[in-house]
Amino acid sequence: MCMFAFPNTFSLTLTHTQITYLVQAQLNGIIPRALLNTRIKSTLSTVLTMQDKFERPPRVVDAEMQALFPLPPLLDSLDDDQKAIVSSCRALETDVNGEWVSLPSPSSFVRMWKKFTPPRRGERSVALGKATTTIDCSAKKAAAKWFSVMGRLPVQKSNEQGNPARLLVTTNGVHDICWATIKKMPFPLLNRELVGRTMCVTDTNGDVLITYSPVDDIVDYGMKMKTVRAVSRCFVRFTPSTSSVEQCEVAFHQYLDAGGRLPEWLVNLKMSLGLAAVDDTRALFQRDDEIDKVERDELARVLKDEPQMLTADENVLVNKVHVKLGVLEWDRFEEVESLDHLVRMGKISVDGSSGAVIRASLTVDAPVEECAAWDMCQTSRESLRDHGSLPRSLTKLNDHYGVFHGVYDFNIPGFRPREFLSAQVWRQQGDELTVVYDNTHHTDFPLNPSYVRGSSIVHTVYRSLQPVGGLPQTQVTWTQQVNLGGAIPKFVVNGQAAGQLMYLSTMRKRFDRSLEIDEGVRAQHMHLITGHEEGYSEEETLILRKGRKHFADFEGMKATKLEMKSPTTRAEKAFGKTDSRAWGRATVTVRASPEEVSAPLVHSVAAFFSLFRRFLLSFGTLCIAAPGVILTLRRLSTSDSTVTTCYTTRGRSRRTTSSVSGTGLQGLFGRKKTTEAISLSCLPTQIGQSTRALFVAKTRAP
Amino acid sequence: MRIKRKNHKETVVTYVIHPDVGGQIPRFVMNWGLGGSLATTTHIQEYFQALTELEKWDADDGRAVGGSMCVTTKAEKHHEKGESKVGARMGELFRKHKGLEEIAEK
Repeated sequence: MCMFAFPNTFSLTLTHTQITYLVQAQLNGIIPRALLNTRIKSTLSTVLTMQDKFERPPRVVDAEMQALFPLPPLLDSLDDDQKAIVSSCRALETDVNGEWVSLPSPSSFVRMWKKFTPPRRGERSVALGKATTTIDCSAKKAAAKWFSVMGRLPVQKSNEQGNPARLLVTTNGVHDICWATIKKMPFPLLNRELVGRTMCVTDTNGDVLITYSPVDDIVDYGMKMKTVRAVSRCFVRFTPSTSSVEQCEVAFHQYLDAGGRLPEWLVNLKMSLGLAAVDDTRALFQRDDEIDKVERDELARVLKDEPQMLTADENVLVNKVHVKLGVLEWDRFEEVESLDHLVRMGKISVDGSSGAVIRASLTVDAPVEECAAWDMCQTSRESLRDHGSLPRSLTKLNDHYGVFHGVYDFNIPGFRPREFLSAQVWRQQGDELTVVYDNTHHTDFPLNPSYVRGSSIVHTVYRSLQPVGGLPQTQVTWTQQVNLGGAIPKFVVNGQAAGQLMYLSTMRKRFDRSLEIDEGVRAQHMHLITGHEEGYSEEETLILRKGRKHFADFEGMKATKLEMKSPTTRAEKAFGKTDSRAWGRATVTVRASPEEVSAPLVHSVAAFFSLFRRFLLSFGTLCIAAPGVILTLRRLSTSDSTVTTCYTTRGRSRRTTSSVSGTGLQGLFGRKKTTEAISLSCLPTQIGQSTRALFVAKTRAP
Repeated sequence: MRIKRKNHKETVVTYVIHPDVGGQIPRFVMNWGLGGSLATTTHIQEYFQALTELEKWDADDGRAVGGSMCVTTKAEKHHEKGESKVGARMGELFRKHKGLEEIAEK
């Protein structure tokens, strides 16, 4: 502790984390005392300024505090009072009365139960809750987090929830505190006050325990608040994991009676909210990506390096699915409007089958093995994240054969969850990897009356492509036929094709390297622009002249401001003297050189297919700006910067014109009639300080 | 579209259009949709802004990113369950912008 003495009026007491600042101002003169007193509050803001200056992120401070948390005392070293508290809380865990009933958990990683036990004297018949999970840190660290009820993050979260108070009442030691909180409740309920004693101890077997028991103390919050006293008793056990990974198992038992006139059934209904505290701790220490990566890398290694000998039955299974789904040609599929323009989707009704066959094809910026490993690790944490508490497992029978069991709830009232049991087999042939899922039976997964057993057949082919910009590429073709069983109409299932196939879009985004690919291609085209010395034909010069005239025409019109969503874009609208069609002009300042900006424009047509993916929608409409030409993009092939495509001229095909400018690229695919083949090239031209790029279409014999 | 150098690291893009979507669509509808077509320039600007690394940012970048934060995105129209619209918009921005991504990592 050190003291700072300011002349006559100030004194400051400073310790490591606490500042006490006392001030008495005497300014003399004729300033009224009442006026002086009103300024006291602003003077005290000095402390806030200091706090702001030295404040660090809450997560960092909490982590430091948790690292300094001393090892909890052994159970035997506690005094009788403390032992009695631990014993009363431990009864929540050891009570054998009643049977645990599974509760729907909001998290895929936390399992929850409840059970009804005979209430103690004076207690209401509120159910006991239990939650278990695995946390990716040591037991001591997890316990430290749980124990630090006055840590920065818990306090911040409490404030964000609008809870009126959270304070430390008494400290009986480093591992024994009494604290109080007031929980905000929705109208018309009164806020709930919880006062309790929390202790942290080490069990005789090395587990770390945390107990919370209610205290009857009256707490002074500094103001009067009308609250209802709630009663809670908790017992948390942190068991260190025996695996090589630093993990611990957590079992959380909670009895919570919100008190007042809140019906018991409502308290029981909301039990999972209280138990979700376990998931908060799990989320804080989670290393999901790291753990998933280890699993996927291992699978990718097996896929790549370990040749597999499939048995005759396994080969039959792969061939059967291939014959059923793999041999179907793309031409037979009806196009499905895809929400991801880089994923081609289609569906087809197969004679004699109840459900449609759906297919998606896409290019992924990753090697074959990585793509396949991502798809095949069905029980990775990433896969489980949005799966809820429903069962999902993958039983490996050998390196290339596994049994996948998954239950999906579509959250439709009156419909039971659907259960799928599939054999997962993969086979490598040359640079092509085939993964199939087919319906199977397994003694570990008998029919469950709570679910409806559906059927699903999946055929996935991963084919290695030429690298782009040094990045490996994989062509993925995923085909599925699903039957949800039960009474769900066929058309409902088939109507969900696009949504189901978006799984492939998730895969694409997971490995997306567009930025890096774009960067390489942009540099290539910048070089093309700066090194361009070719002259222009008469036709091209005419087009350039027409383009420049548009700017001059607009200058001569009376323009009005057009409100844009982006405040950085300046846009105007104007009308010609004889034309009721509006002219528009937008101006922005771009943080790039003219060559960089021009490069994607030069290559924008090729961008529709593989390159410049992010420009796809942005620059798609630029083609419309080319005078007299509307492009219809269908059955394209790209070679260098030239694109062979088809076109219709404006005026001759109105239908095409409206479609193109309607929704940009989405409206272009697969709907237009082709009339004539052309070759399209882009001509950049430099005039003074300006760089202009226009698209010129040349007719070529079909 | 005119692409003109403003200074060593900035370019002014001017885009003039006089659209005719054809068919039976009334003129006033076409004129009403003019802003959407002109937003192409905004996309260009946002694309290059997103490529700028944090260490190359200056006050103008801060303003530009601030401007981007004011623009409604598709992500918030299709935001996930439990995610706020603001969260969806910011999430998309942080994913797209190199600079913001670096801030998030820090």
